[in-house]
Amino acid sequence: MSYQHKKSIVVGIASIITFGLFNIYWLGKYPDLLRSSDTALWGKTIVIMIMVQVISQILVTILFNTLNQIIAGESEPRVRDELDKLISLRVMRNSYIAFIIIFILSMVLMMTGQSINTMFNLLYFGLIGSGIFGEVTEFIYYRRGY
Amino acid sequence: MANHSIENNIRRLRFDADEMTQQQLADLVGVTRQAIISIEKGKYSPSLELAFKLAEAFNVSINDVFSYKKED
Repeated sequence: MSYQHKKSIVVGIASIITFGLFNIYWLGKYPDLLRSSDTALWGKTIVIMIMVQVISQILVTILFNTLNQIIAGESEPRVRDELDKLISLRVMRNSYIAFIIIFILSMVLMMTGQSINTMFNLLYFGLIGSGIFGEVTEFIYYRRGY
Repeated sequence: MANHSIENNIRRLRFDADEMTQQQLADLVGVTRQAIISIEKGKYSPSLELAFKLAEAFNVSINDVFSYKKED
């Protein structure tokens, strides 16, 4: 399994674990969040969740590179070539499309009279879902060759 | 319009070049081994610049590395 394969798996799993741990902590602090229509609380939740995910990804990447070097003797590729850049662009596109679909779905639900917390729930879980979707497609692209 | 595919002889050229490895070729042209694997398998068509670099690595013309074939 190549470096890129391993990294996409590790980062994907780490995203899920981070999200899970964040929810355990945050929902413990705000147990009524998922039923809440408090826009300020939802805003705070989503912003902090994004920050936690970004920091987690940075730390996981550093840890992965270190452990991969020690265990497999494989370091991060020195170059980021045209194939890496193209796959990266495709992955970004896929994540954005996934999130846009979720966003539109949340608007449709609002249109049908659902409460605002339904929209926030969809956006909240949709953010991590679209990110993980991107990681999965990255793995598939590298597995397939492009 | 007829369908075309781009084929390559990179694997054979590597073998002829003292059994050059994919990693050695990747280092020569400045890409990752993954990119060389994808190109050899025909999964990825390289940029023009990379195609020329590959030809230069084997000291052959680009037509000796890549061919543009019409699919039946």
